[in-house]
Amino acid sequence: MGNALVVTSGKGGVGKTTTTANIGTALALLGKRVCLLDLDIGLRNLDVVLGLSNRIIYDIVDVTTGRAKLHQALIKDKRFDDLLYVLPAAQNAEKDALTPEQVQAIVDELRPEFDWLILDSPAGIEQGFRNAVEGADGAIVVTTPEISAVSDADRIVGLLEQRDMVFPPRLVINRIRSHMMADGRAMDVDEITKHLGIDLLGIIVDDDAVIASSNKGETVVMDPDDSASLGYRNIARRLLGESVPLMNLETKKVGFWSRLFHRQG
Amino acid sequence: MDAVTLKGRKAGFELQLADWAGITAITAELQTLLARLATDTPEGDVDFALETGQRRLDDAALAAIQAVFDQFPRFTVKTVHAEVDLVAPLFARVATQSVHLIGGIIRSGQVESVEGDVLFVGTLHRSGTLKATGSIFVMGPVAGLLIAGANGDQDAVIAGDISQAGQIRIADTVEIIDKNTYGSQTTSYINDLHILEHGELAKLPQLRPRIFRKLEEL
Repeated sequence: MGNALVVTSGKGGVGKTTTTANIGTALALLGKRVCLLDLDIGLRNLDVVLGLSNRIIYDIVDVTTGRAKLHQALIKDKRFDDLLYVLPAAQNAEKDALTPEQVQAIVDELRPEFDWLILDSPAGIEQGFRNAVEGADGAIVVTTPEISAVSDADRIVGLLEQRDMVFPPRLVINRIRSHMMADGRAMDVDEITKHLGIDLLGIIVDDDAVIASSNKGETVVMDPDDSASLGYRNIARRLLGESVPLMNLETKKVGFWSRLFHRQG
Repeated sequence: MDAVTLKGRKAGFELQLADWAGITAITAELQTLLARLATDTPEGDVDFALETGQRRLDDAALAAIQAVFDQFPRFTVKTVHAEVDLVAPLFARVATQSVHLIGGIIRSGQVESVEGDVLFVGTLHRSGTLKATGSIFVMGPVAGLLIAGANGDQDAVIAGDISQAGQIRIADTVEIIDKNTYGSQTTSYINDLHILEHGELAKLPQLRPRIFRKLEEL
């Protein structure tokens, strides 16, 4: 029986969908069967990030309304053999087209076939958030080192703590700019973690490659040399129970010869 | 000693049910007493006030007594009174007179409400609210909203480090805190001109001696 995790943040634009896609891909690369569920009804883009948009026939609302069977709506990402699937959100439905009970039923139906179910929550704390949280055993709270994102994450943690989830919420700090943290212009990792009072699952450095790969319909995790990729891979390994130290945020000076012979991706 | 005693009061008849007596003895004596009264006063309805002393009768006991009265249609139970307090209101009264110790994190959007005074040793995050009907004494970092005297108690105070708080309210007064305006130890209170004022924490014993005495008991 698979574990179901919701990726949530409260604030929009902090990288929930990117995190969902990359953690899912990283778990698939580690040989786990993963299903990603996009619950952002009306504004789906998990399929876009994964380059699977053109393969959508049915969506999650088609499943709940009985227009399609669950397996008809699942899209297989062929790059990962039989390991990575996506259940897309509906694009032309109202935000309250789903109920928490329906999401729970879908998750329960998928659970025996997958090792991990990752639910991509919409921004906000309304119906979409409640739907996503209802089906999950635990939560990954994504934030960036901005006070507004941390404040919204704080609100979300409060709401998650009111629910009796199997696993306590864990934190991912995204888009870390180490130089800003180093010179005190942004909250550092320790400050954010201590403020929110939940366990840190991982950190992701701000990296142009994340946007570039997303624009190509690929996840950055597929590039083994990228620093953001390493962050997501570490998160996946921690989810599987490995003890992986936090990556070093100190900016390395790259020498001329290194630049010449080891070009970074 | 009788288990049931009939008394005549200005307000009417009163039946005193001895709190040491068992309910079987009480119903038996009550039966005899009411039967005799029914014979002695053949006409007119009579209401009785039941006094149960230092015992609050449970539903089963009251039903047993009512069953006796049901045999005498002219006699009714008007009130039942015991010289004891219910536990719940007592707890509520004690709560309002106690200083509650609150810890943990009050997160954005959460509201922690307390009846009485509160000693807060946790963390109040931005957009979180700590609300007390009495005074608030802060020992942890506070970045949200503090509300003391929430039910209108103008003697309530907010004491401790409020330098990073977003806003404080006491009764119907409000102040938006400008960062770094106040020192780490402040007593905020409503002065005689009904203005929210901030003094040194050391002045608390003079400003609110009653509150200070309560703190001493902690």
